[in-house]
Amino acid sequence: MREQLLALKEEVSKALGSVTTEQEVDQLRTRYLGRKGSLTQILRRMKDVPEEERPVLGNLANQIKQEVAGLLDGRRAQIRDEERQRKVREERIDISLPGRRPLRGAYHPLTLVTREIIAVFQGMGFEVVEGPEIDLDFYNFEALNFPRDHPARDMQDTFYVAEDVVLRTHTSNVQIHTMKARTPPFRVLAPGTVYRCDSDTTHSPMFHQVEGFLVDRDVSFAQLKGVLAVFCQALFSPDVPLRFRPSFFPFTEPSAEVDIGCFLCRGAGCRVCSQTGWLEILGAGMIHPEVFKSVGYHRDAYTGFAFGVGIERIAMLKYGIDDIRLFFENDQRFLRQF
Amino acid sequence: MQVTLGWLKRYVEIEESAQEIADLLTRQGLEVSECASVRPRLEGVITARVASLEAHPSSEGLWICRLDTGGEDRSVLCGAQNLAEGDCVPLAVPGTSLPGGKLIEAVTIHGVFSEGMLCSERELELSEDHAGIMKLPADTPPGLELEKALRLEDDVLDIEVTPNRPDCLSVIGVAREIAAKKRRELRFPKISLEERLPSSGEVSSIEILAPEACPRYVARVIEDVRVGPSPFWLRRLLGLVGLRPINNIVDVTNFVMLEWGQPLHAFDLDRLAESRIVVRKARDGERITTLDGEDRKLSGEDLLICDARRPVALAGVMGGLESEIHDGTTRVLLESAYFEPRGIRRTSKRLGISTEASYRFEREIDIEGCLRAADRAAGMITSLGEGRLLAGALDVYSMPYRPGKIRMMLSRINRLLGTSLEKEEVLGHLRGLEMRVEDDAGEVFEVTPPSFRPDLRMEMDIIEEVARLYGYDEIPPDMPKAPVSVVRPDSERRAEDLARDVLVGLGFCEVVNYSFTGPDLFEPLGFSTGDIRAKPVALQNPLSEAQGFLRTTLAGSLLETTAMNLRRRNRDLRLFELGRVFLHRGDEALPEERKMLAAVMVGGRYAEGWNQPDDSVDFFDLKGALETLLDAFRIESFEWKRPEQNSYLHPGCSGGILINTTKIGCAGRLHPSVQEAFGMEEEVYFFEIGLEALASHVDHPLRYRPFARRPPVERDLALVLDETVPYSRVIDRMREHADPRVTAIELFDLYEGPPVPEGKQSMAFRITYQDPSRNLTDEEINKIQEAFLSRLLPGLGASLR
Repeated sequence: MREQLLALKEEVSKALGSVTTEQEVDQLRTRYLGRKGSLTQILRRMKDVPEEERPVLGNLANQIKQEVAGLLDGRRAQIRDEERQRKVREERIDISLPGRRPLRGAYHPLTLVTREIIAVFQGMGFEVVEGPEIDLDFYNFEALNFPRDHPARDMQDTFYVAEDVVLRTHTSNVQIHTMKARTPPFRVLAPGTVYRCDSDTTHSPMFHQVEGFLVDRDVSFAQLKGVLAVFCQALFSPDVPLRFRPSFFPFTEPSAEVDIGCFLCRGAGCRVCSQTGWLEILGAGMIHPEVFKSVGYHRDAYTGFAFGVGIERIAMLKYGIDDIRLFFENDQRFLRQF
Repeated sequence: MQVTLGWLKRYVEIEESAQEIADLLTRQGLEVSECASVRPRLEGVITARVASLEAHPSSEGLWICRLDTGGEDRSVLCGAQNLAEGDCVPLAVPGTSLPGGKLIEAVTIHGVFSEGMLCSERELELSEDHAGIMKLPADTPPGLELEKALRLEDDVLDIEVTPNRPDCLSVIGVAREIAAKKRRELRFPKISLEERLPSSGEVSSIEILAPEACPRYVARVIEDVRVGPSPFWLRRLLGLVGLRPINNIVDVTNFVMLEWGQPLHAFDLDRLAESRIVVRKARDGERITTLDGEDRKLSGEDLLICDARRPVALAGVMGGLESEIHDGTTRVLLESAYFEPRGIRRTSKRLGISTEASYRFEREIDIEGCLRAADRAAGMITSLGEGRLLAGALDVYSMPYRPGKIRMMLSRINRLLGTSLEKEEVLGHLRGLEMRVEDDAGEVFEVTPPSFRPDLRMEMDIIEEVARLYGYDEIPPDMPKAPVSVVRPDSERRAEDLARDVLVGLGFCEVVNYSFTGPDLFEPLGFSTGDIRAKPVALQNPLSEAQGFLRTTLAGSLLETTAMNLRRRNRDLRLFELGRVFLHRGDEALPEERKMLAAVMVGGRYAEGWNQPDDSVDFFDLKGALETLLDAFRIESFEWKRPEQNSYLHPGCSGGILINTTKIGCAGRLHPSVQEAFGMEEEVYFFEIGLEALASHVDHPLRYRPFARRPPVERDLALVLDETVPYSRVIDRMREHADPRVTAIELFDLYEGPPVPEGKQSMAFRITYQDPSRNLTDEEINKIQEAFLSRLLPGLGASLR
């Protein structure tokens, strides 16, 4: 019997050498270990074995059974593994074929720039406020120290809806609305659409601005410079050169225009910066005493600064866009680039 | 305002390059937009003196000139008729290439050996003058390079002068800025007058009937004038700064206007009736022919310079045609006046004439400088050798200038600028700008601005001057001291951002269209006359009729943008716009501005690709996008209503959207006739909703809702219904009658056709059952479903398939 058991193991081991499928392994399992299998047959004869040998033989039988089962399992796993590997080898696709892309949407470049500007100033505690695009002359001009019949009005060609009603020429009207409604201190950012009757490659009858202003006690021109420096560095680069030039706006004094060093030619002079090495990007200044007067603030009670940024101008510089009309033409080939 | 570096050097020492000066001025608030160097290429052109002049023996009109060229003599054949012995002239020697490209060679013409060519100004590209050979000043030594002899090299700076700085509309004003910054002396031109009797008061007089409009009027009279061309240097200088030389009188008035900023006008005194000047307001409807030949109709606001009988000039704007200086003029009356700025501006605007004079008057000139400018011009005219200046000026100065004093405090200057300037430095800057400073040892001082600075009226004006001269770039940056409070953007702003994010995520591209609209864009939409959108707000001065109004809907421009893209073969469009529309609000001056969100879908449902189906979008793509958008705002209770009143949408494939019974917008397929009107062949799907409705939901608080973790059981259910029963009715009833353990009902198939009977449709639903606390058995589900069906089917007239 011992010999039979050992021979069984030998037989299984031999038979496994020639099987190639899991199914065949299972057939072997049935044949040798099944209820009617060889092992069972052998064990049936256990009753003929002398009592004292039974424990030894019993142990051997169990051992052989486990070993055979192990052989079967091992072979089965081996076959399965080989099969999987074969399949994996066969499942080859051309990964260079184009992917299945969902349609990609895009933000308008003006939205991207506006969001970026807002994010910078929000970090400095400015809140976003909007104002009307059609406004009374008072808010757009008069209260901002643009007297009637003054050449300063020539700086902004104005669309009229009625004698006293204009399409705002700047978002500075929000200054007046805000100051009339609130008491300082406040830091406000006013993005929006503005209009001037002018149209060519660098002027659009409709364009966008972000106006910012801060009113408090003891606000200084140096602080205006600090805030605008942070802005320019955040929007362009931390080491961007800045230049503050005196300028004139009726509603600020001292007034300034701010240039950044041309990042295309690094100051050497190129077509974009008209050979000056500088790019004008915003206007700013200390809020004019006449403006405070027109909103009813007491003389000397507050000081403040204001600045205005042209969104299109920034977007044109950032993205290398050479014609302002592209923003409003809305060709999908343009929009998809952002 | 154009100036040349050479001209500036007449008044202030300049060792810097033109570019350095341009940079200095720019940093001081006089932005130099262009700095062009003028370097005539006149190598080989030298000065020569005509030693003798001999007519050619056989060819009539030709002259054989012997020229002294400073060493050797040369002979040149010349056809010009304006030469005389002793004249100084430019000679292009053989081998010279003239600016126009012409090469000069020594040649023998008509038997005469000619060693070069005498040139006209035009041949040297120095002016348009080609009347004869250019004449150089009589004292020009022969044999010099012409460039050096005439100092032709110069640099032209184009300065953008802001409206507050009329003083810098003059070369002296610009020079003053350089002198102040560099602490150099400003040298004024010397005025020397040789006056002769009779006095001007004996031949002419000034009468001012409108002193508010003309507080000062100065006139000088010059007799025995000979009108002719100006000397070369004057013509050249005017030409460089963009003025056309006219004649010696007018050129001098222009020169002095540019030098001092005071516009002058020269009248032919003999053409003034009774040789006198009357300044008065025009009568309504009165006419004058200005020197540009235009007949102008005037209003009572306009100011006129008249003689004893009629208007002779539109004051401060343009002279009259009939009193103009002409070649035969011998007696000149020079006007140097101050006109009230706003009046000049109104006249100039109303008549649409802007001149060098009106530009300066409307920005305000120096009332104290009128006499000086008149004297300067008179002196120049007589020193050019022309004319006799009559003694004394006529000067009616009815409202003399009274300087204002401004009280300053050093500490306030430093506090506002954020600087720590010393008083001496501040005063130095102010004095450099010709301000008078009264300083009493303390920190308070008084400043009297000069008369040519009308922009300096208050403390802040003076502070700006200090900052300007000190240099903005020198002021150290600082940060605001006030505590920062972080403010969340308001709900409208956040709603805009969220809407953009969702739509971009869904594959839409954002567009920005003009707020302007025109009949081409809104008429095809066919709003009924009662619709508020049918009457847009009109502009008084539009750029064109197509941009004559402000839009009342985003539809017109968004559809036009769509059509434009389709014409350019940009297919498969998903576009959206977020913008304001403008709606009349009864009699109120200002219209309502309403923010709208609109989107359009055309073409393929998927991006084109080898493995993508080529389905086209339909109504349900649009609806799905819109519902996803509403879902992002957590808006659950919205409904779609038909019919929709929007004329521009297809009545069968469109609807209105309501949130809690409030209509927020409409969506659907574009009406085929509108589609055609915009020139589109594709089906277009469009929605427009008010942003306000979304904004009111953006603050919807987010609360976690526990979900059942027991395994869900799904059962499919097909209902056969009358084909006219809308899905909404079925789903509403299903929701109404569903057991609480039904957690989802999904329509997964819609079918008409055999074996479903004619006139019927089949709707197949997948129903999900789930109990939060335990697993449901088949039997329980059967029971729930039976009860559900028995309540549902009769009301719908439906049967199970």
